[in-house]
Amino acid sequence: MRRALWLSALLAATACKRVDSAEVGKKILHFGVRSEVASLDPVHASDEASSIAQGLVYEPLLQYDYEARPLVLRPLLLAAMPEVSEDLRTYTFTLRDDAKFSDHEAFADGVGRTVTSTDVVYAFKRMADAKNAPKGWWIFADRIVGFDDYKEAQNAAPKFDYDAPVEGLEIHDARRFSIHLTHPYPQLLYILAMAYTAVVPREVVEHAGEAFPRLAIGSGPFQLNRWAPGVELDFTRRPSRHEQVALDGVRLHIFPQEQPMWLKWRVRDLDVIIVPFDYQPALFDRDKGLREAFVEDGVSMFQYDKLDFVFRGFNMEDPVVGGFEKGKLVRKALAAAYDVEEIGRAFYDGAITAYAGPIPPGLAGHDDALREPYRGPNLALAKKLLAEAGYPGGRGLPPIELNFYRGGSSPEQAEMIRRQWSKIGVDVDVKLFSFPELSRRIRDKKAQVFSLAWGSDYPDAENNLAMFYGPNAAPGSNHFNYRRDAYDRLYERARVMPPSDERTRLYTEMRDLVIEDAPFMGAFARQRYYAQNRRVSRFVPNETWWTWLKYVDVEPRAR
Amino acid sequence: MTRFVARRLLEGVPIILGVTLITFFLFYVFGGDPVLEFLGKHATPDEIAALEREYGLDRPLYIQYLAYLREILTLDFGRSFTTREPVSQVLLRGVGPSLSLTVPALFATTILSVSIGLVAARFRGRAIDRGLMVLAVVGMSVSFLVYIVVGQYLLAFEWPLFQIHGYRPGLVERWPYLALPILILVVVGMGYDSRFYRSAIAEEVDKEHITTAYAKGLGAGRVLFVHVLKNAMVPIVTRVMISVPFLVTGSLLLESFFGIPGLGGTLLEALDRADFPIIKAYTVLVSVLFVLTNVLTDVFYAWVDPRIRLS
Repeated sequence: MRRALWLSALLAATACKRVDSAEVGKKILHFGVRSEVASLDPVHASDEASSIAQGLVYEPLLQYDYEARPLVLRPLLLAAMPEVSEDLRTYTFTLRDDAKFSDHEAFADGVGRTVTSTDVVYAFKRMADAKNAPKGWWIFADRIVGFDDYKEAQNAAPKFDYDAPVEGLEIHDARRFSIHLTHPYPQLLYILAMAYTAVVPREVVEHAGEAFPRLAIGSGPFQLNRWAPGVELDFTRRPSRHEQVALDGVRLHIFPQEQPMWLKWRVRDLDVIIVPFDYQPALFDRDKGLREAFVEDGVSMFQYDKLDFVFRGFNMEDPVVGGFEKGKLVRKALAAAYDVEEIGRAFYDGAITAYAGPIPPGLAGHDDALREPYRGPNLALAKKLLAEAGYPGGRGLPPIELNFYRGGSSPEQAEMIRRQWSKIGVDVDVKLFSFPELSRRIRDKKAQVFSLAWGSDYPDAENNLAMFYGPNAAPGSNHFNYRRDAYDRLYERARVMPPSDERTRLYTEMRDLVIEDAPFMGAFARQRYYAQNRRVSRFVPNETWWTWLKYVDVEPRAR
Repeated sequence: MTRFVARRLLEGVPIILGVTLITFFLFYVFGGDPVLEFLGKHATPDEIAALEREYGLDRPLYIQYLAYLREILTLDFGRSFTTREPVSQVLLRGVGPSLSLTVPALFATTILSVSIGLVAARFRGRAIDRGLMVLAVVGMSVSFLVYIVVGQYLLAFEWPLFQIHGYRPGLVERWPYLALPILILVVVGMGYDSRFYRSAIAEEVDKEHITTAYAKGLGAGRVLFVHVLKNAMVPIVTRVMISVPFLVTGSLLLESFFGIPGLGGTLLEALDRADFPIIKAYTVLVSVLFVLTNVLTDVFYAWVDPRIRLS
C-alpha cells in the first residue's frame, strides 16, 4: 500500500513538471508545427515542417531581409550580391570565407570545414540525380547551360558522376563561381534563396548514404541534437559561426491535432504557434484584436498574409465546363452563384482576402480594386449566363462533379457550394478523396471541378502565371489544362524579363485574359496568425523563406 | 499439439494472402498517387516516370504483387516512399511506444472489468449490479474522441495532473506522458468489457456446481475467485486475445492527440501520404498477428479448460 502511494506521488510530481531542468536559464524557442518532418535533405524541401527544420541547419546562398517588406534579398553564404552580366545570362558569385559546416566524422579530424564553390555546385548537381528523388528540379530545368544534358546523361549512366563538368556551372576558385544561363532567368536569385539550393558537404552525404535525410550537417546556425520522430526535433546553437544568434536552441514540437498544440501554448510550454482556425475565436474578439485576458498575459500576435492562391478550378478539357464557348458561360454562371465571402466567414473565421485573377496580394500584377464582372453572389447574372449556355434554370445540365479533399473542412465547404449552386438549379455530385487520390484525378484530367491551393514559391507572380501556360498542362502545374496562344506568347515574353513596369504590364494582361476565360473561380488568400507568449521578441515571420527563426529572441526559461 | 499448431498456422497462410491481395488492389484503385504526393506540385512527366521506375510502380500489376509476396517472405519491405527510411526501422520504432500504451491499459482494463463483472454477477439483480451496468452503458455510449478531448482539457490543462502531450523514450521518463492516455483507454474499455464479463460470469454463477460449493460452506470469495472465475476463463481469454493484435498496432486517435510515436500514428501518416510500403508492411503485420493470436487462443482454451482437446 505504502509503495503504491509513493508511486502515485512520484507520478503526479513528474506529470506536473513542465520545464526541463536542462533548459533553465537558456534561451530555447519552442515552436509548434502541425505535421511530421519528412526529411532533412534539402533536395526534399517542400512541406512546411521539413522546410522549417532544414532552415535551422542548412543555408542557401541568399536569404530575405528579416524585417524589410516587401521582401528584399540579402547575401547569406555570399560575401556580396552576385555580379550580373549585361545580357542577364551570367551570374558570378563570391562566397564568404568564414562559413563552415558543423563537425562530423566524415570531415578530416571530424571538424567542419569551410564552404566552397565546389560544395555549391555539388548541391545543385544533387538536384539532377534521380536517385535522390529531388522535388525541385523544376527550378533548374531548361535554365542552365548544359545542365539538362548532364542530368539526362548521368541518370542514364551506370553511376552518377558528380565530377563530370556542367558548362553552365563554372568554378573559378574555392570562393568564386559563375552560373551561365540558357536565357535570362530573373527568378534565379529567388531560387538561390530556396531550401532546395542549400549547400551540403559531399563527404557527409556519401558517408551517410541513405541515412542522409535523417542527418543534418550544414553551415546553418543550429545543429540537430535529437530527433524523436513524431514528437519533436531538438536543435542547439553551434558554438562558433559567421552570424550572431541570440537563441541557445530551437525545439520543434509536432502536433498532428490542434487541441494539444493550443493547450501546450496556453500553459507556455510552447512559445509560438500558428493559431489554428478553430481556436481563433478563443484568442480574438470580433475585430481580430487579442482578447483582454491574453493582452494582460503578455501575449502578442502577428498577422501574416500568405502568398496564397486558393481556388476552385475547372478542367478546361471537360465537355461540360471546359472550352471557350458554352463551357465558359457555365463556368461564369457557377462563379456568379458562388459566394466566397460566405466560405471565408464559415470556415476561415473571416481570415481570407478574396481577389480577382491568379496573382495574390503583395505581388506585382495584383490589383486590390479589381473584381471579376461575374464575381458572386449575383444570382440574377448566374441564371442569365446559365440560360445563355443553353441550360435555363439548370435544365439539361448534368450534375457538376466537385472533387474535394476529404480532410479538414473541405467536405463542409463542398456542401456549402452545393447549396449555393442549387439556387440556380445546378445539381452537384460531391466526390471526396485523400489528397494523393485527388492529385491523381487532377493529373489524369478526370476532375471536372476541383479545389486546390497554391502557395507561391517566391515573391514573383511568374510563379502563379506559369499555372496557365499551355505546355505546363496536366500532369504539370497547369491543373486547368488552360491553353490559349495569346497567353502563352505573353508568358514566354514576361518570364525572361527582370522586374520592370513593362513586365508588370504583361502580367496584368495575362491576369485579365485568365479572368476573361474563367478557368477557376473564387480565388482567395488565407491569413495566418502567429501567437507568441511574452517571452518572445523580435518575431517577424515570413513563410516564403524559413532561415529566419535564428533572428527571434526569447527570454531565458525560468524554473 | 504441435501438429495442431502447425496445421492452424498453415490454414492462416491463405488468409494472409487474401488480405494482402485485397489491400494491394484497394490501394491500387483508391490509394492515390504516391509519386505525385512525394514530388509535389511541380512534378514533371519525366520526374514522375523516373520515380515510378524507382518505386517499381511502372511494372504490370501482377509483377508488383509478386514483388510484394517476395517482400513478405524476406521480411524486407524496402523503404518508405516519404522518409526513405527502411520500413522495418519505421515499424520497429513504433512498436515500443504502442506497447507501452496498450499493454498496461489492457491489463488494467481486464483486471478492473473482471472485478466489476464478479461483483455485478455476485449481486445480480440488486441495486449495485444495476448501478454498475448503468455506468458501463453510459461509458460505452460516449464517443472515444470525447473522452480524449475532454480528458486532455480537464485533466491535463484545467487541473494539471498529467502531461498534455509528448513522449520521452526512457523506460521511466515515458510514464508521465502515458498516464492519461492509459487512463482514458481503461475507462473506455471498461464499459464494454465489464458488461461482457458480467454476462459470462453470471452464466457460471447459475450452474449447479456453484450451488454445491455454497452448500458445502465455502465462502463467497473462494467460490467466486476459484470456482466461478476459473470456469469463466474461456470467454475472458477470448476477449483478451482478440485485443492482442491491437496492442502492437496501437491506438490511432490517442497516439495522435497525445504525441505518442506509436504504430497507430505511423499508419495514419502513411495513409495520408500514400506511403504504400508502410501500409503494406502494416497490413501483413496485422494479418500475421491475427492468425497467431487465433492459434494461441485455441491453445489457451485447452490450457484453462481441460475439457477442451486440441485436434
